[in-house]
Amino acid sequence: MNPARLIEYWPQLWEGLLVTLQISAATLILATPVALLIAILREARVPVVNALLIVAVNAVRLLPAVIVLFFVFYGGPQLGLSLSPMAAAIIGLSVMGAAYMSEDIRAGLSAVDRGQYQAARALGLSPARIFCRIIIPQAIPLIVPPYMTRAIIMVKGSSLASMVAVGELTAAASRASSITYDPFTFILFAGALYLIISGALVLFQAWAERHLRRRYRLTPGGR
Amino acid sequence: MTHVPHHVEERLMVQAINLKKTYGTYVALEDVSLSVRKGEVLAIVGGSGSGKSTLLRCLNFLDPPDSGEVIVDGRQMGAALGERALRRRRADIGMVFQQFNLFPHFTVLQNLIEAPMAVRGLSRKEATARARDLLAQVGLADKEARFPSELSGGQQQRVAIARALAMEPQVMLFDEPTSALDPELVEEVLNVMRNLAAQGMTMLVVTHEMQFARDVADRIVVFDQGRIVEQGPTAEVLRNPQHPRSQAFLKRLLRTS
Amino acid sequence: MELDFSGVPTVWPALLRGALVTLQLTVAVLLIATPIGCVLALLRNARSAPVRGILMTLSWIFRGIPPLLILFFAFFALPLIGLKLNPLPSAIVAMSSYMAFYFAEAFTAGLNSVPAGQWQAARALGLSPTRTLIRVILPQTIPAALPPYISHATEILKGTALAAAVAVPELASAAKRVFVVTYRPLEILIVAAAIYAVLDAILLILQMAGERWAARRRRGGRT
Repeated sequence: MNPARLIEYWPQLWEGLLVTLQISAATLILATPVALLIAILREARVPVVNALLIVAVNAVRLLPAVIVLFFVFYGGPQLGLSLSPMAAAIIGLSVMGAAYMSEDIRAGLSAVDRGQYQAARALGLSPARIFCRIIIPQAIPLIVPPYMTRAIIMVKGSSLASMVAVGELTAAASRASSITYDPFTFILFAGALYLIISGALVLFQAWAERHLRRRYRLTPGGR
Repeated sequence: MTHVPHHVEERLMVQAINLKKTYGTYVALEDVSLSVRKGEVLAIVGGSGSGKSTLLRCLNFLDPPDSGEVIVDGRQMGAALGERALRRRRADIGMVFQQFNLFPHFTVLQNLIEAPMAVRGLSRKEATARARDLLAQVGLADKEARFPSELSGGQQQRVAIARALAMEPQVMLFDEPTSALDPELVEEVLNVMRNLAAQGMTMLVVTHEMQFARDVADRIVVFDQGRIVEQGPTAEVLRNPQHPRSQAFLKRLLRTS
Repeated sequence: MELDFSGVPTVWPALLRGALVTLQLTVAVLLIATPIGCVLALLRNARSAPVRGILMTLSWIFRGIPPLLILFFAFFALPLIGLKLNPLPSAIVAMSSYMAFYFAEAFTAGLNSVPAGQWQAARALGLSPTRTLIRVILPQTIPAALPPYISHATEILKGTALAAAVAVPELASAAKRVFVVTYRPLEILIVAAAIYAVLDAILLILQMAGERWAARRRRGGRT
């Protein structure tokens, strides 16, 4: 590592880090509600909607993220949808994230004991109320661990934005490396920053799980 | 334990007429009809998979029957009522499950007030007062702030009974309420049910507890392969079952209990 | 907007060449990362605490850093340490390095699934540690390790698209090179996506066969 070079390229790296954080936050904020909606619609099992969602979700999960980003960024203009690199990256990565995340959420929802639905229905509670008051609170502790794992994957995935010309952290580090021929400084530094971000998310996950366990008096390893 | 006296009125509380229910090709209920009078306690027995639990779930339309009619307190149950009305009617029928199915993320008190507030429109204050009354009745007045996971199985089932009673139901359905309990916890739940019977609650109880049936039930219904093979006054059926299937079944149950 | 696939036959050879490189990359990474992952998993159970500590740290780093950054690192750093590789071998090295750690996680889970009593019983019979491992333990790890192993393996295929960023002429970069010239990105991307889907489907069939086999093994092995 060469601290002098690091200082010289600090503005670009700092800018890249900010863009990485922006993309990560934006994709999480966009993907989460969409994923939740997809999961709910899939659970509701409306005939045609369900089939369409199965096809769409699995098509996205089947493709490399790079291809999905290319579709949005390069294919978009052909559909009259010209997006900035940043917007294209955020949309593409959110689509990817939502597809994977909807499966995580669905797994959590369907892991809630069927008896809970029966008991709630026997009491005359409405479907919306059953979902909000009975099912969701019990599914959240089950969803948090895979959700956080997915969030970390999405932070790492933000590096793909560089493939559609977004100057995020990976792009900044590789550009600096190619100019200075010093990947040991820049790429290792960028790697450390990614590890710090995902480390922070891991700490948050541990805190959230502890909090949820205490809140719902859950014993470790299940209800 | 001696017989639990209770008053049975002439008025019919529950009528099931020609109920039929299939799951795919499996016939769970085949042409089942029965009626229960107000204040009556009906014990429902039969082997596993004989249709007893399906009958209970069809009575409150948790699982709508394929055909047939259910009439509760003179009013027809059914999808024709519409979703909202059916929900409200369902709330008039209390149900207690083998696995308790308490809401694990709610305290005992929250378990008891959720539905009265949401479905009956009670204020929190009214619902809480009623819930505390019921918890005292089932002997758990000091547990209202506990979570279900902090209670024994017997205590959880008593909470589940109180939760159903909080809706002020006209009928109570019990689906093997003591089958998931350790033997030493069975009696505390049965005692709550005896009290309930003595207060005149109409009860349909799927059970293997023959002593309880003898003490409390007015009539016994025996199920086999989705059909009622025998029904009659408790003492008669227990003393002298007519149908070979119920003879075999009751003999086995009485030997083990 | 109308899709026009009439230009596809002309560019088909280029796409096919790209698909071939994608396949090469996938198979090479699979063949290299699997045995290394195996060794890493065994070393994870080593008695030496420093070895275990170093491996866990490395695993955390390689799985916590964006794969793209690792590809850039190999691309820039390998020549500096005297390894002047073409883009393809360089990408193979990079992808194998992080995939080995993902595989090691799968294999470690498999090893941990074997009850300690198996070790004790084999030792009590006087079997040597090596023989115990090869004859008794490893065969029992396969059913638990195979499903996560194969799901990581399918990730390799999708991950190969990243190599486009370091000048490997695989399918995604072939597609990009073509549509930059033809100005019909959507059609080309649809064809590329279809090729990925076919390759995915092949892996999926292997995965299902593997999982069925593992399930059978588990039933048979645990009675």
